[in-house]
Amino acid sequence: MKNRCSERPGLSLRQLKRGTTVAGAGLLVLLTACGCSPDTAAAAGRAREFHRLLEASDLQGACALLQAKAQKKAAEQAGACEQALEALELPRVGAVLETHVYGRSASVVFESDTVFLATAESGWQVTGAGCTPEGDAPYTCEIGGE
Amino acid sequence: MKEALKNNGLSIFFGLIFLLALLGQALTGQALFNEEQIAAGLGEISFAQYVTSSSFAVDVSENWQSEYLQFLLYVFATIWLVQKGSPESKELDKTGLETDEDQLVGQYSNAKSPAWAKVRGWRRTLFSNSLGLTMGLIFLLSWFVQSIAGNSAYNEEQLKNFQAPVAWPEYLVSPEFWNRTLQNWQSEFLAVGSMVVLSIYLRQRGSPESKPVGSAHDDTGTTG
Repeated sequence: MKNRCSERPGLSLRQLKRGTTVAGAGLLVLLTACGCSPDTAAAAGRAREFHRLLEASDLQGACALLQAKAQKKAAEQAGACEQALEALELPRVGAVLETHVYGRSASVVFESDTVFLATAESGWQVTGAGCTPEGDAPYTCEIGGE
Repeated sequence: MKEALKNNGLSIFFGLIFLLALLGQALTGQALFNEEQIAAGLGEISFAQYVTSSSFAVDVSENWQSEYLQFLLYVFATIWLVQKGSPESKELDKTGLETDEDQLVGQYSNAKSPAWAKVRGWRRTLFSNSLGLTMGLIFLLSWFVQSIAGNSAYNEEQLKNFQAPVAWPEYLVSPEFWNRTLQNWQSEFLAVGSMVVLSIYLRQRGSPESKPVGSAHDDTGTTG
């Protein structure tokens, strides 16, 4: 799946000699493409907003920021998404230490929480919150997660 | 126009099938990416978003780097190594950089020789190695792009799976990076090696990549 090489060496050598300019230009396009326009401020802002709503007990608002799968999982845990968030015992999360954005996924590391997010048409949505690291294994999240 | 098309048929043919294959890769890659997005409960992405994604960039660059490495090694290995009976090899007694007379440089250049083949010094040295150097440069650039885009695509996947992202130096020694790299390299080396050996015993009438059909199996460096 990763690679198919069917050209014969001598033939392609001649082709590639002529095509080096085109290939170089293509590489520049690729270099630009892989930058992936990180939107770290927006992701961190959405994670902060989620925690601010939780602290303000605006559970409906916080649920609205959850991605559909995370919402469904929370509802399955406690009967309704809001009830699952109400049962959460998250400490004050503190300041944002790090934000990682790669493509359409992000994580925001607070002093006492890690929030995972994914982009949707409406902007960043929370896919996991109340997450703690488990070595090389996926984080364990109280809301959403695996 | 017709003459130009005829004289450049090989370049045009490969240029066109390259573009078609790249378009096909982009379209099927977007479909596959979206299948995975849906499975993870995430939104689909547009064609424009996919072709500017790290996922597409790494899939393209990992193939490019291995192709250019293949030709880089082939260009340099065939200076010093020969294969008896193969049209891909030069004659057995011609190993090495050969004489100025063989290479038509300096005083042995002719009226149609490129200007830098006629002069001495750095320009001749550079021109004498320009094919290998260019292949090497494109290989290194493609491999570098693979490492950057691969790191980004890998981290996107990590975050999607609720795992921590890794930094670029860590990615450079990761199984993911080397597996992507080596699975491409092994197939390139096999393809070149097969061509060298199969062309000793097999023929393709009319192709300059083959010996003439009636050539002896131990004829080396002849093309048909």
